[in-house]
Formats: sequence, C-alpha cells, structure tokens
Amino acid sequence: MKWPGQTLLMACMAATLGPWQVVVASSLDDSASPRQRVEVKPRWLYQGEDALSPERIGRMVVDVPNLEIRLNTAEFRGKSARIFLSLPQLVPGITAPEGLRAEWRARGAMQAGSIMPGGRTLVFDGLIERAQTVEFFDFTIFIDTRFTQRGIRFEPKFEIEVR
Amino acid sequence: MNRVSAMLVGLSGLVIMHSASAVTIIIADGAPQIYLRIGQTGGGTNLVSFAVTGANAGNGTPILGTVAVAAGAASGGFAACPANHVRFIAQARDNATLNRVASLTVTSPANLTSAGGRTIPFNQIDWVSTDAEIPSGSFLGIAGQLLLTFTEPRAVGVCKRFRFLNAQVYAAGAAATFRYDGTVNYTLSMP
Repeated sequence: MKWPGQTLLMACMAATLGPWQVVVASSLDDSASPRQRVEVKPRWLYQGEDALSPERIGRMVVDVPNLEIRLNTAEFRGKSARIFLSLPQLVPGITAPEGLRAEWRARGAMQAGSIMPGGRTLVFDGLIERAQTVEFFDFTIFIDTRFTQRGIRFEPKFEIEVR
Repeated sequence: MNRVSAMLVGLSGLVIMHSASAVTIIIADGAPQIYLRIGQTGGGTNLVSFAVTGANAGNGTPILGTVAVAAGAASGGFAACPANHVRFIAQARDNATLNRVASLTVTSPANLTSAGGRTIPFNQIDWVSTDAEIPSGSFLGIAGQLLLTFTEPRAVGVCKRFRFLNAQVYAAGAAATFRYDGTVNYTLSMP
C-alpha cells in the first residue's frame, strides 16, 4: 500500500541520488605490522634566522622512514577495491587540524599522499591479490607547536572499499 | 519494507566500521632552542665607535656611535636597520613546556679603559631602541643586567643606536691610540 505522495518522494530521491550503489568501507587490521609502536623525536623545520616569522617559529618535522605496514586483506582477496589512509578528527596532542600534516611515499604499489586530521586519502585502487597486503611507507610528519600539546600520537588507519 | 527505507539502510552502510589500527607513532618532545644575534651574522664582534673632538668634549650633547653596515643587516622577517644601528634578534621556542620565559641580559664592565689605565664609567653609554620590545636604556656596568623577558615561542627584533653621553671631559687616551675600549656581552637564556 502506498501512502499519499510516496511515489513523488521516491522519484525525488532517485533524482537526487542518481544511480544507487552501496559502497561499504571496512577498517583493515594492521596488527601484523612488525613495529606496532614507533617513538620519534622531531626537529625544528626552520633554523636560525629562517625561523623568525610567527608562521615558522613553531614548525617541526619528524621522519619515519621505512615503516612496514601489513594489512589483513584475506577477506577481500581477488576483489577490486580501494584502500584509504585516514586520520581521526581528534588526534591526541593536536589542538587544531593545522597542527599536524603528514606526507608519505610508498615503496611498493601504494600511492604517495598527504593527510591532516579528519582526512582520508586514497592509497590504492586495484585488485587485492594477497591475503596480506604489505607496504613500506616513508612518513614525514609536520607539526606546528602553536597547535600542539605533549604526547602527540599519529595513528594512521587503513580502510577498504570493495566495488 | 518500502523502497524508501531500503535506500536509507543502504546509505547507512557508508558509515565506517570500528577501528582496527595498531601501528602508533609517538612524537616525543623536541629539543628546546634559543637563538641570539647581536650585530652582524656569521660571528665576529662589531665595533661601535664614538668620535669625541676637543671642541665638543664634555658639552652634554650625546655623541652618536657609528658601526659597520653589516651590524644592522636584514634577517628573516626583520628589515635592515637604519645606518649605524645594531641589529638585535632574540628567539626562543620549546614544544615540550608551554610558555617558558626567556631572558636577555647584558654584562658590561664598570669602565671603559685606555691603554694608560684611565677610565670612563660604562654607564656613560646608553642606547636608543627603534622598538619598545627592548627599551632604550643605559649600561649599568654590572653583570647580568636584565634587558628583556619574553614568553616563547617568539622572536624579538629591534635596532639600537648607541650613544656616548659626553657629560664631562675625560682625558685623552694613550698617545698611541687616543681611545678607550670596553666590551659588553649579551646572553639569552631560557631556564
């Protein structure tokens, strides 16, 4: 039984949504990665007289080279999928999104990119070939001490969407 | 279930599942840092000179110091100083402890001295600052004279013109040089 206006409402939603496709994003388990906890010490990005402006004085950078990430992709093996690297909006130790930005270069099949808190960046788009997808990342993390507190924790999360 | 509710259920599938993140990068404290520049860059001690002639000696009109152009060179966001001014830059920063206080002090000897052992009190030299961040003042001839405190992270930059007050007549220096000399040392600290 249709209630009055139902057909019109459905037509409007269909026009708004267009072709309907359900894409489910799932978190990928990276607990098999060999280094679960990495502690690094930042350095000042600008030195001496290059650091004198208010925008530069608090800039720091830290390198995390060759970080091996092992993702459990067994469930998605043989499927075409996209993998994203994401960060939560609230990053421990960061008081505003502009307080942190991470860039990375991948040594394998994944793509280079960058991210800020609350962001989500595509790192892979293709066929999931193995039960465990392994990638080595070279992270460079920039922080601005005007928007940080002690105890910054950078916890990248990996999500997969199967098409 | 009608089709409208089916669509809403489908859209709800876009919500991200629970977190499975395990890899964590802990960013520790960086090293605190202070930076101080007095005069020219690249090291070296700048010489400020006061030329007192017999005609104007002791007349109470301050004698303006002269200094090499390099002593007031531009730096970072700070423009070059006017001629015969000395550039002062003090910077402090720390990402571990917020709002640490840095202090700029100067140590000056009691006197300028001539080769023959004559003296002029160092408090006969003062300075005029282009900015109130490091106020105008005079040397006290003591150790650790406080000039400025500021809360990090911050960079302070001013230009100073030094003056000999010329309040009284002093004997000429030793015959070979006819000069009095003295050195002051500036220290920036962030306890």
